[in-house]
Amino acid sequence: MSIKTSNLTLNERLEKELGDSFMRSSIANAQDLLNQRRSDAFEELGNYEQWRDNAAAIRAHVLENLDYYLNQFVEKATEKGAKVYFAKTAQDATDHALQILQKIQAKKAVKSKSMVTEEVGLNEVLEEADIEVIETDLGEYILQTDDCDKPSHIVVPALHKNRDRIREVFAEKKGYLGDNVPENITRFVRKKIRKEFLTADVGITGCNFGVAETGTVTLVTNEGNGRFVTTTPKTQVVFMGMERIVPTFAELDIIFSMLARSAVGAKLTSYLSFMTGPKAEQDKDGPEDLHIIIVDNGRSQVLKSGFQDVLRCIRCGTCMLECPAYRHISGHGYGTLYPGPLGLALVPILAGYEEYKDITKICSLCGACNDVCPVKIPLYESIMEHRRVIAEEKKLTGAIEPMVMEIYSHVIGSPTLYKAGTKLAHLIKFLPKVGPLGEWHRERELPVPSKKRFRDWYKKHAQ
Amino acid sequence: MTIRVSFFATCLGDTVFPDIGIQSVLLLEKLGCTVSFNPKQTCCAQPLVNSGFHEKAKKSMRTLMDALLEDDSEYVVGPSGSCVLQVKEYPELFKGDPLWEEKAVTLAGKIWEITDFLVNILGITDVGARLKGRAAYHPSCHMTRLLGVKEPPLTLLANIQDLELVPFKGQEKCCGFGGAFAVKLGPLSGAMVAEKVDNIVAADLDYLIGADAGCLMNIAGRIQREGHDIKVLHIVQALMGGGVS
Amino acid sequence: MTEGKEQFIGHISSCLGRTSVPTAPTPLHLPNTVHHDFLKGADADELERIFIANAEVSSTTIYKCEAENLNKSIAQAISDFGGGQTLIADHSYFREHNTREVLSSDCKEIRKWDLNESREKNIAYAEQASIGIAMAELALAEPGTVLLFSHGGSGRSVSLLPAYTITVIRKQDIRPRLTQAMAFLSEQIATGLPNSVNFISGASSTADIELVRVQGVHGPLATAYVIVS
Repeated sequence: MSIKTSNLTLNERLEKELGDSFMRSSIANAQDLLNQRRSDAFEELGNYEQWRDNAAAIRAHVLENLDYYLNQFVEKATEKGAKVYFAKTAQDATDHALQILQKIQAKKAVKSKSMVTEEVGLNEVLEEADIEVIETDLGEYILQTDDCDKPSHIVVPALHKNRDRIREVFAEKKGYLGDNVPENITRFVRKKIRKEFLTADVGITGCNFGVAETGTVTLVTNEGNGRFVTTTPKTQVVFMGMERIVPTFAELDIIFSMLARSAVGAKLTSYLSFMTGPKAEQDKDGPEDLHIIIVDNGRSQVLKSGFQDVLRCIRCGTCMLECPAYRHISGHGYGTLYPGPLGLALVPILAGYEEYKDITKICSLCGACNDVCPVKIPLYESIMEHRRVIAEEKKLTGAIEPMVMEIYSHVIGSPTLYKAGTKLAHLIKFLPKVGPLGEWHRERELPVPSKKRFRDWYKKHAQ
Repeated sequence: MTIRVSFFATCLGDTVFPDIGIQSVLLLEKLGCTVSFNPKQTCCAQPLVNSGFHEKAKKSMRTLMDALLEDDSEYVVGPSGSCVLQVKEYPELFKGDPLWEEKAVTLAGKIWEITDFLVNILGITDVGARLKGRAAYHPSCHMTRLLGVKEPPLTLLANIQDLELVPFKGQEKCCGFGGAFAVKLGPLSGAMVAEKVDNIVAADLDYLIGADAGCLMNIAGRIQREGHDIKVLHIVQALMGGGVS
Repeated sequence: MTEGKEQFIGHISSCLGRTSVPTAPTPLHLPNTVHHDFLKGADADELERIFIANAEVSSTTIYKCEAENLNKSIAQAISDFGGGQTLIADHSYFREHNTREVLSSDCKEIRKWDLNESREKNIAYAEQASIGIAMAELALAEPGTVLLFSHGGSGRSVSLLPAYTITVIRKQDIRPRLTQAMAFLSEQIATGLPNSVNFISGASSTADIELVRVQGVHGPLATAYVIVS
């Protein structure tokens, strides 16, 4: 996989997703449920805005000092015995990983969920080199089994799938003979994957946040797979986005308190795992070797653009749960690994305007995302600014739109032309319902402007 | 001494929904304001800005600024949260411009969304209106979240005699208008307004009342398409007795 | 020297508009201190009460005892989990209380995480075990969480591989929330932070299938706490 998750055009994706009624009701229910839980959790915590202010301040501070903290993190981690690698591009990241795994002649890797590994397309590279990769997070395991289906949400990746489909997939591909009850399916998967944990050569994880002062890698998980893949295999490889750092443990308090509540309305997840270096000499489990691959893949580009604030993101997925557009099309509608408001704000600058210009259209500018981002990323403003860059700087809106806008700007820019325009507005009902009128009319009745305009009334009234 | 208000009709108000402008002016006059309307005014250029064409938008913005500032009224009032919001962003858009930044700042400083103006400048929460029926308020996104005008419309509606104001599911969710969004991503916008109307219908209303013509045009269009008997009103129409929609 | 570090981090410096990595960061000023106000002034009894209430929300079973009844309580917890092969961390607290020896008279089979045995044998035993018994460094009242250090005799596997986990906590080690736990971790840095530290809040769980919560995924199916006064 990579950042691009679909080869369909924007309109093709929208048509496909809008036609998936199970997904739409599933996402709508998920939004309603999780948004309520989030709201309840923050109500209980109290002082929501102040917590946000703290979280935003911490992330902004880290980004301003990213070179310092990353340097400190690398020094400390190395002191503690970790081997650290730097990946400017996605290919650098997978090259490093392949080198590490081939050196130990690894045949099997167990993975705990990591967006960064999906971003760089790790699984495909390893599989091509004959290394078996097993996703151990239940949601990711479901997707992997179902012919590598793409995630529809960054925290609950299989949200678009129903239990019948999941049962079917496991029956077909893994020999599952049971029913569609989630608990039974989960027990089956537990048993299936357990032996993989125990026989894998390497455990691969992401890193929620690296702690600069100690070189500690942290994982925020629920299922126990994050702990398992860092306990039984002898080698561990960590993929870390270069911006995923906090200065000290104290800041983790704020960030983790916000993360679990924002994401799923929980105070904490079942496990917060802090790993500092490989296991100690006398320890009888844990990795003997710990490798940390620090990934840029466009993040430094974002850092020097005016969109630095988007790197504050703690990957809670709240913005997409709040988004009224995401509600109807899920992550698949965006065609990007990072969907929803986060995707709109991040992907064009992370991965290129040319390729991803269309994603910025998927927004009605409602501003709801701004209000719920735990680190106060100016999502709305970022999306608006991307649209400006696309239209005015990169000139990627095609030939017609700028022309239409130019004409429109002249009409509304001139009181005379504008007045003439208002006089003609009532003729809309005679126009053929094509283009924008057709688009409007497909979904709803067109308004009927009256022949008598406001200004006609006012003229009389003022006499 | 009465308060002098320069009225900002907005393009939708000027053309598609003249009654919004008419009722706004009558309401302001009823409450003791002297209202003027400069026919040289045009559009706030929001559709251009939202599509990323900031530079092209500036022509209209300059025309609008001159028109609204010309008679030097103490206040400029418009019946649309999103249009007033756009004008309040003019200072940022004209930052550094030796002539227009100052005009933008002046205008942004004196422009008000109408319910905000009524409650927070005129200090009026009850205009003496009466409208009988069951109604819900649609809080337009730009007006509520971005302009920050949340309470004034609710206060005014609460004081309309015989009006029963009720909530409805997904009330704060975007109706899917989003300006150009409605025609650029038509089917998605359609899905959003369809859900909004489902929720409105489920609330068993006589009236759906809002403060932004764009949203109302969107919601009313869908209600009409589906054939429901729900009147969609701009708040100034409700405050003036619920006449024409 | 880590290969490529200068270049990678140097590039970040230049993206931030400077030619070299600063020798110190700019100061971090948190706008407020609301996280410190939580349960301020709560006494040990109140902290315990809140801890228990929150632990029970995540379906953790609670046992309370005085120190002299520790082993009895653990035995009760083992029995309530259905007994079976048991693994106990080789922790000083358990050694002080002779826990393994005392329990071995009742337990079908109980072994400690054994630094004299191989890695493979230890992990295999843990994998087969029904019950794992671990000692918590701290507990946190607000989220109902326990903090475990894993090193030496306290293997990571003890609280992960067996089907059920029993965690022992001293009442005096219950703190208000994460804020205090992070301060505690910072204090350990000077003397040596263990390579593996886990905050555990209940059993393993998932909601990946239709958002239906299922308890017991890859980690323990259920957990119990024994709180010692």
